[in-house]
Amino acid sequence: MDCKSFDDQLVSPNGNLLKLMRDYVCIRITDLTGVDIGLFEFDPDITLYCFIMNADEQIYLRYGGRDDASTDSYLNDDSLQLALEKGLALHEKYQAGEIAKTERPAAKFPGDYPEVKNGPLAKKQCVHCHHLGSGKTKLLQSQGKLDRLKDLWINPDIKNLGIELDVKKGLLVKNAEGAAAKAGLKKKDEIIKLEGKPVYSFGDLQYQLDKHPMEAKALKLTVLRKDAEVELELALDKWWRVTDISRRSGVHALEPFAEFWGKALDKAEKRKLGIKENEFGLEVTKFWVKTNGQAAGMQVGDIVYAVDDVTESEYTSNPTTWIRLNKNTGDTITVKVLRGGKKLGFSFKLKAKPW
Amino acid sequence: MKRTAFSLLLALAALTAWWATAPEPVEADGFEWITDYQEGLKKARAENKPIFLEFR
Repeated sequence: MDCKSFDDQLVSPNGNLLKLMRDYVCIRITDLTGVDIGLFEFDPDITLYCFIMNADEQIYLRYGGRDDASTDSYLNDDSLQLALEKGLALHEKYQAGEIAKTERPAAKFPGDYPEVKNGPLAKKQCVHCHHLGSGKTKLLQSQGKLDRLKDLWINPDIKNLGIELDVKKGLLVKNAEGAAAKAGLKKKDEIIKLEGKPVYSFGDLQYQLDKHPMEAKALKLTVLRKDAEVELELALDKWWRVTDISRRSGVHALEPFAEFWGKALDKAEKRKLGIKENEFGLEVTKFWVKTNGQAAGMQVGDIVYAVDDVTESEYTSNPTTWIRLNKNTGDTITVKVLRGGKKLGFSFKLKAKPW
Repeated sequence: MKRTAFSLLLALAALTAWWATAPEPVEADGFEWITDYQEGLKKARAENKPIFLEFR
């Protein structure tokens, strides 16, 4: 299902979804101006994200989240209905005094990011999710507080841990491999807690996973297996949070600019050119402005396969991302490309921004 | 004949103008999306309902 059609279902729900949504007060916000993003914290690189909560602004659960493949990998009518049903049950418990109030996080607003304050807010334009991703990167980088090899891998992918969910059935496990399988996770287990925190939806699971530190060596999951709670401990490797961050607004805002734009080659395209899957491989596709890369001789169609003799890294196979993560404004780099069967090298200085 | 055509055109223009200025429906088949957060909180409190809040 594409995201538009899922969103269409939300705009004009019918059937069971409509019945469930009528039990809620439904609020739709399309402009984040004035929204407390300390309370409503979510992945900035999504098309929609939902909170199931109450009038005391107590959040019961989240619905949303994504992976590298798509914005809607985990969005569907069935799992939304499940989330809404869980929300109703939690609301009843809250009203019965069975759920304690949680402390409200410190308030934070989009205007706290100078880029948002001086950009869309100053121009009286709507603030969108992606503004938050780029605003955060810009602020942290300007303060010298951004750890480029840590802070940008937000909202990790559960598949890195070997967890595959039956996405229409919420947190029911479809298959376990790798660290999850080694820890004993099994098909048909239902994940109910992460590090002791209750999770009711994929949105909750990814949110709690995001709170788990990159340097952690293990992750505790609690699952429901045949009505019994089972505790599992997954061993984490050094790069367990690593995903393809080249799509993220927070990475696009990162300085320096690589001095070229391109499209990452897929496995088959790399193989054809003799490049291994984990090695750099990117086709230069555009020079929107006269960049230092173009001035040095780079051309559209060049295949970038090395930067300063580095041809691969553990955390990205995209050379533009590698440059942003490892180089600084003012550094001179040498990019090696394939062009018509020849290997060529171009050296140039990196600017902070393309324009 | 001319008068009928003119009346039809006038009616069509009026219909088009109404269509263009009609507010976007927020309620269909008894289902309503609220676009004001504070208003939604008040309504949820008054009706003792949970809230489904969508950001997009």
